[in-house]
Amino acid sequence: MTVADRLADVGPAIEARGSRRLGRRTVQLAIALVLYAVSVTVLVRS
Amino acid sequence: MPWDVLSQGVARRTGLSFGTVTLAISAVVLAAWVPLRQRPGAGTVANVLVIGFLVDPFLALLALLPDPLTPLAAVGLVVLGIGLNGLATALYIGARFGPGPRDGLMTGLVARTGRSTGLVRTSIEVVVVAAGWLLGGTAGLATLAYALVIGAIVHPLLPRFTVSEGTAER
Repeated sequence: MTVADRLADVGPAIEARGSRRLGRRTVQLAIALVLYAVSVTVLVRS
Repeated sequence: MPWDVLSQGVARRTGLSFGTVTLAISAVVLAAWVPLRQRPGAGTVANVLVIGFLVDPFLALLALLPDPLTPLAAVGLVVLGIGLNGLATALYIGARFGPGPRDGLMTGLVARTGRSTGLVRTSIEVVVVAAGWLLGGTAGLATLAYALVIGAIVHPLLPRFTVSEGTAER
């Protein structure tokens, strides 16, 4: 297998991994912001 | 919360509204990012906007709770609030979309000084609450508890929730 063939295999895998990571970061940010707002509210109310 | 004590103290000294002072302090803190080489991101903007929009509806929900709260319920809310705040801080900094203005001060100082997150965060909160109190802001036991404990909560959680950097990330 040539280097080009190997890169052709590896490229999409890396891209998919990058997309999954971006998805996880986005979900994590959304959860964090809601939790942050809840925590601020709870602290203000207490 | 400590930064609110500072806003309150500055507002009392200057006669400006609480909201105006909060925004002004955010601007000053963001200016402090420049020497710390911090860069704002989507998370920085989202932090300000989303939390601003969500707090009022959540406050309306919590208004359903009895008033005044029993001491045990008040303590429970403080513990819950501080714990959730530490978790949320670690989650959104860990997502690496950019920290909020005040958290960026922490991450910038950690990066520049090499000190631990816990030490830097606690130092910032204690200085801020002390300055706010000296300026006439109201600090209670919950504020003091937050200032002293939040760093110890964020410090161990941040590495757990930090998404690793990837070369193929877009």
